[in-house]
Amino acid sequence: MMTIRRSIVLALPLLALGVRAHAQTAPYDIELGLRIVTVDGNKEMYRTQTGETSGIVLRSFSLLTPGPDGAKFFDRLRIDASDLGAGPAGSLRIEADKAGVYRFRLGYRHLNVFSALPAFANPLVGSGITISQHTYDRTRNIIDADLELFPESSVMPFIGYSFNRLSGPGTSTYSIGGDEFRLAQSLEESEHEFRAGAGFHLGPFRGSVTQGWRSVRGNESSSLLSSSGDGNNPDPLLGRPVSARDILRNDRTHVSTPFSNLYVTGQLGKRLRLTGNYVRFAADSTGDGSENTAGSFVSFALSRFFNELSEQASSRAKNITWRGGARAEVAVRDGVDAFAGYQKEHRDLEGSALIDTLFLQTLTFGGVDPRDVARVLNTSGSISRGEDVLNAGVSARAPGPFAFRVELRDAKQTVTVSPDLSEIVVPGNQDGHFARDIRTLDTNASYTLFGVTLGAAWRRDRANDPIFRTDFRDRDRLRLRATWRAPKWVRAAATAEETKQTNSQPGIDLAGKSRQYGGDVEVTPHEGVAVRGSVTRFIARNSSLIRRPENFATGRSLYAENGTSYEAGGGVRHAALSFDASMARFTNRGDLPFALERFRITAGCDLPPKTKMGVIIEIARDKYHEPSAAYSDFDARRVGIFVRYHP
Amino acid sequence: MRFFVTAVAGILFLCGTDALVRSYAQTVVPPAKTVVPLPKQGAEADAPMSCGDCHADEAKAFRTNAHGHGKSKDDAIPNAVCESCHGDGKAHAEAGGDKALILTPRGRAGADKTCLACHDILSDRISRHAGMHANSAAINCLTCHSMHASEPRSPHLLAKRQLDLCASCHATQAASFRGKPFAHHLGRGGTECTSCHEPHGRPGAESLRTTITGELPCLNCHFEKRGPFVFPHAAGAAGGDCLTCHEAHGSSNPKMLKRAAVAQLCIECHSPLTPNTLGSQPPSFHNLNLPRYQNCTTCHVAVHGSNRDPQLLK
Repeated sequence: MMTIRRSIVLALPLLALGVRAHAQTAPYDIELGLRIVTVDGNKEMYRTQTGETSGIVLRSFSLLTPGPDGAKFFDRLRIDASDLGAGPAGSLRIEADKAGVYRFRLGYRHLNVFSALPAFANPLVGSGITISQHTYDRTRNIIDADLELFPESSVMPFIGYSFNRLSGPGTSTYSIGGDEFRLAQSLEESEHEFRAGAGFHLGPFRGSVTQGWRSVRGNESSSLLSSSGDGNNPDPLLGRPVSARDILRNDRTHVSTPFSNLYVTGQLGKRLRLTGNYVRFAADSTGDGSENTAGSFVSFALSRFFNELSEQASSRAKNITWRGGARAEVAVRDGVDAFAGYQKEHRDLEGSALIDTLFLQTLTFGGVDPRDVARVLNTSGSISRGEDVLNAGVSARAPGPFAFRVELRDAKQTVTVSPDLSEIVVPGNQDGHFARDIRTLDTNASYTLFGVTLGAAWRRDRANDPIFRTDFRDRDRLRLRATWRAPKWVRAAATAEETKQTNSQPGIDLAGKSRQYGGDVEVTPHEGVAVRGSVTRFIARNSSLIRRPENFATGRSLYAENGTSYEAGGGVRHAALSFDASMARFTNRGDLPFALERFRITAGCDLPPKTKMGVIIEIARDKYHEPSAAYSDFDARRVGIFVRYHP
Repeated sequence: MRFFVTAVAGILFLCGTDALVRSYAQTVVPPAKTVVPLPKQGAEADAPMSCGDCHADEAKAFRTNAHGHGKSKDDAIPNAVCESCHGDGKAHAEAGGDKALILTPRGRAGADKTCLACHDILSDRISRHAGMHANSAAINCLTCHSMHASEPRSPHLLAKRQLDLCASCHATQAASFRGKPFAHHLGRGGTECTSCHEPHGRPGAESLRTTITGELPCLNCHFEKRGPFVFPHAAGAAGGDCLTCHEAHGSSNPKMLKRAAVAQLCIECHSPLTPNTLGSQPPSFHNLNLPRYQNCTTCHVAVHGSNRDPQLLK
């Protein structure tokens, strides 16, 4: 994939030169250059959050050309690329069309997926050891291609293909024998999806039928990271030091999923519109894994010490899900519609595994009875879930400047969990039948006059019982919005949103409230000159009862977020000159206090004036500070210089 | 309830103002300055008048516009293409470009009559009439799409870059993406608001751009979390979803989690103080006072599901 990305970065400038002769009909724009990033402080935190890296970047490329009249292959070709090369994410999109013959879309996306956070999943961070225990440095490449034949005809066959691949190294932890050990991890997972079908337009009926196949293959191998054999816990357990000499684990997974997707719509008369939809997939997963571990370990499940472990596992899991429904919309009058619908979904999950574990060279905690111990876990479990949603409402969009919408929904959810007894390793409610009924009133209204829009939305949910402890019984969400657009020169907006959710049941006592409100203004005093600014507040408070596992005493979980975001910026564009600057500051005084400042300047001009060649310079600074964990702080500067060519 | 009564009273009051603003959604804009075309010379004088004679830039650009491609003749856009939205332009042309004599789609009525004449799409997700962004006085097709001055690098004739466009109404969500330290890189690598949201969709959960198999849009990229697993995490498999633990619009917490501390996030579900809720209680050796147990995922690494271990340890 790296080769693909490099090829694209190199090929697009060549393509641009190739079409230069046709510049009148093939306008394109290319920005290619170098970006340099320097980071003071925690480079890993910077990469996790922002991910910019030094190197050559195709900042942007766009080509949009009509084919010559009567062209054989296309009458429109569009290519857009951005941020290919160094950096956290880049994309390429190609569209080609020939009216009445075909439509083709190809998308390529590349993402660097990096995470190394010292405080996350690191039990040693309190003792000053800030090396991240869970990290990854992976790439994700996604390709989507779709070809539709004979668009706008009564039957439109199509085929499509999607590819998604996640691969790269990482580190993880493995809890075994009374301690946790850091593992080096190598992961490669890829998904291929093929789909074929046809859209149709027959009289008053339109729709689409798709049949597809999805195949996922995953390979993961893990091994003990060098110098990690002592684990996280330096203390002996039951008088015996716990350490690992060797850990080697391999897992392979294959998932095959045929799926079908169908929808039909019908316009019956001038007023009635009907929709029917159905989707079904059946995922079948098989897996096998092996493990060989050596060292000095303690097993409380066996009540024995052991020195080696050898394990073979095979597994199979299925997920059969279908969803279907019907909707009707009736045009009561111009701009006023009544609608109603019913959707039903059902999911059956089944899983079974045979895990054969051999503990070698074991001893009782008393140091006697040396022998090897075999354990076989033959388990199967299932989860069945259903949901029925009924809704009805009215949408009125046309009484002058006023619009409103009212909708009622009733969602009935059921979950049945049937775990195998061998799976239950800790006491608790891991099986049974759970049901939940949620009734919703969802309304919104807006009023627009002379460039001013006032909007309000209110959603009220009432549920009988929770399935998860964090489920609400009562939830209310209110949104208010005001926007003023004076022609051409000013736009101002203010937004306020509050969500409250509660469940006063004894033992849960959930009370959560979040508020977001802010305002922004954009002024364009002169053509080509713009100034903007915004302030946003994020406030959240959540409280619920918990049971602390160390003593099973009831306590209270409290979470708070108190964030403020300031953003300001401005830009000037005049002939061949452009200048844009912005700054932003986000501070949080909640459970994880921090301050994040961002500063950006982008300036561009054509050199010499009135030519098609230009230069773009970008300067950026990101500064992150956590008052309670200075090892997370970073101060990163980024400078980029790009050459632009735009015939 | 107070809000509801106020809203109903507001509706009644505002409907009364309807007559005052009946002309608000006119599809024809009043005349402004007119453009007088230069007289044609020689043989050209006998040729029929083309829209491109006066609107040369628009006509040239329209050859690559989705509405015009494949319809050009002799490298020019036929009048019929322009007239499909602007109506018959003969009188307008003969009057030297009198703007009062040409249709310019504006407002809800303009978008309804012009755009929806072709794009009145109804599907399992999309409804132009009952959708969350259905044409109204507050928002219409032309609020987001620009036929002649779209953002050159945006598909679908969007008037601005997508994040800027969505942010003009959804400002707090945009500020969350831009300001919070742990967020999707919106606007980079093809990740946009519409990667997850269907702007023409019905409200609520129906507005999400689900996978082709009807799952949450998260799985369009994060396919490896889909499973199925022999030992699934019930938070995802039994009715919860990614948003049970993660903030899709950006978070102040690592991994875009809803809580700053991992143990806090987990224990809020795994505290069965009441019957009939899913979630087991960790046994007593998990002493949350010790740093070793404050990050549940140090041991329970396969938190999204496992084929190897019922406790999600590998």
